[in-house]
Amino acid sequence: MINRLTHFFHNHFRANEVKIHELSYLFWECTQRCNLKCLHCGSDCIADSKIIDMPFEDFLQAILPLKDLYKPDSITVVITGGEPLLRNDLPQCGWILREHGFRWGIVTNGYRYNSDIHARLLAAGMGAITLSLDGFEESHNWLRGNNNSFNNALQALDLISSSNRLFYDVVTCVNSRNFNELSSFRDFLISKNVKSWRLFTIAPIGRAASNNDLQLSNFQLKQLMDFISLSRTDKRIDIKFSCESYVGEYEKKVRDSYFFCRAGINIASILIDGSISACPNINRHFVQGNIYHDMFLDVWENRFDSMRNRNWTKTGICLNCKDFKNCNGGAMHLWDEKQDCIKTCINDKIRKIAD
Amino acid sequence: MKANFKDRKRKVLRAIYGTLSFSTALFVFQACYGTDKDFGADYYIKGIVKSKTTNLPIPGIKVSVGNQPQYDYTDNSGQFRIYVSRASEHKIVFEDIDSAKNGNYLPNDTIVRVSNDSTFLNILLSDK
Repeated sequence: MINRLTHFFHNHFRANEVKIHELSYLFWECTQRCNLKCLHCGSDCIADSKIIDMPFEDFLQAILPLKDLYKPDSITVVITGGEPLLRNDLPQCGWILREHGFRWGIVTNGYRYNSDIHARLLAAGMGAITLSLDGFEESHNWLRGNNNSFNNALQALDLISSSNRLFYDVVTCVNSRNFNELSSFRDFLISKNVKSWRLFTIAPIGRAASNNDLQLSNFQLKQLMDFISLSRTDKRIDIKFSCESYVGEYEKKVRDSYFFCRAGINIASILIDGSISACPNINRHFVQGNIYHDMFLDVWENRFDSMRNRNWTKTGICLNCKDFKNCNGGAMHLWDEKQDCIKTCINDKIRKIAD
Repeated sequence: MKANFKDRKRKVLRAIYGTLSFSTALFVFQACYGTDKDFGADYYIKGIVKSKTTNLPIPGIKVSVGNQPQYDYTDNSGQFRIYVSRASEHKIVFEDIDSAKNGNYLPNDTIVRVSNDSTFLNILLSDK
């Protein structure tokens, strides 16, 4: 009864947030170059991407009008890629963002993160960082396609965790290889003074769409939810499942709040070619405009209909789903241009175990 | 800022619905593939380093922070800038590390007591 009530109010909360659509996160896909060859890459990044990095000035000019409508420090610019550290002007970009009042952080694989770049990014006012670490050495290097990637990421972790300035977390893409080491890896992260750990499964998009080895079985998905749920009870580390899917009976047991895909509601992105979208891994069919011929602020205020009204997602396996009113069609990145069925549903898979 | 009547009403509703759904993280959420929010626990220090003898700006002086990794170098106009963690005070150290390239200066340091938003430092370095 209490759960139904809290779900009821959360659904009203979500509808209200859509009306407010206050921009809180702005991703900047600053490069498509990458120094790793991750098996699960959602954006198919490559080392020698022919697409040139976006000039920072183009990004800046697109977002400056936001200051007319928002306090800039209420917006966190998340610099992503590709691998953002391949850009040598990152500290300079950060300085200018802070001069204009924006907060900023980066999502990195940690391969190039050393004490020098750590010092320069901190000095330039970086406030948040997310580091990918996908298990112990063998598992991590396998997924990342590089034999040095674990050691480099570990060096990055030591630097990041030593800073009392940074808000940071470690993210792990759970797959069939690292699944059995999650418990010992959790203890390892705790020993490394990591305070926050986010777990993802691997969505069947980008390179991962053609690699079944990366997917967990339905039973493993349930075990993963049990692992997170149990690990949250002893509070040694702030472990949570990502907001990639509604998870039915595990809602609020595996994260702090109910599932709510905020793509296009509180989250926008400016992609490498100037496209305006929500999270960078969303199918490019849902692009809402382009900074080179649209005003970003105008697009944010007046478009994004397909993300702010998700009634169209009531199709395919969602059509008769009893949880639709709570889930609202799941995460946007799991829909493609056909818009006929969500690509995967963890809730559905877990329910099949129970049935 | 977004502050018309309709917006204010919606923000009141946000607080009511959020509270009644007993979710601690509704107001401070994390983007799915993004970082944590930055709550800005840092402090901005800027300033200029000059020669005590000539009163001219000195480029290339390393400016570092006591027990933190951040550092900067003074530019051609002797200016530096740096964000540091927010603490009650910081020891800022100034070192001439480029040998005789821009002159030879003795190191110096100063204690910055953290106030509201930022601090501007005027630093004079003595000749070696």
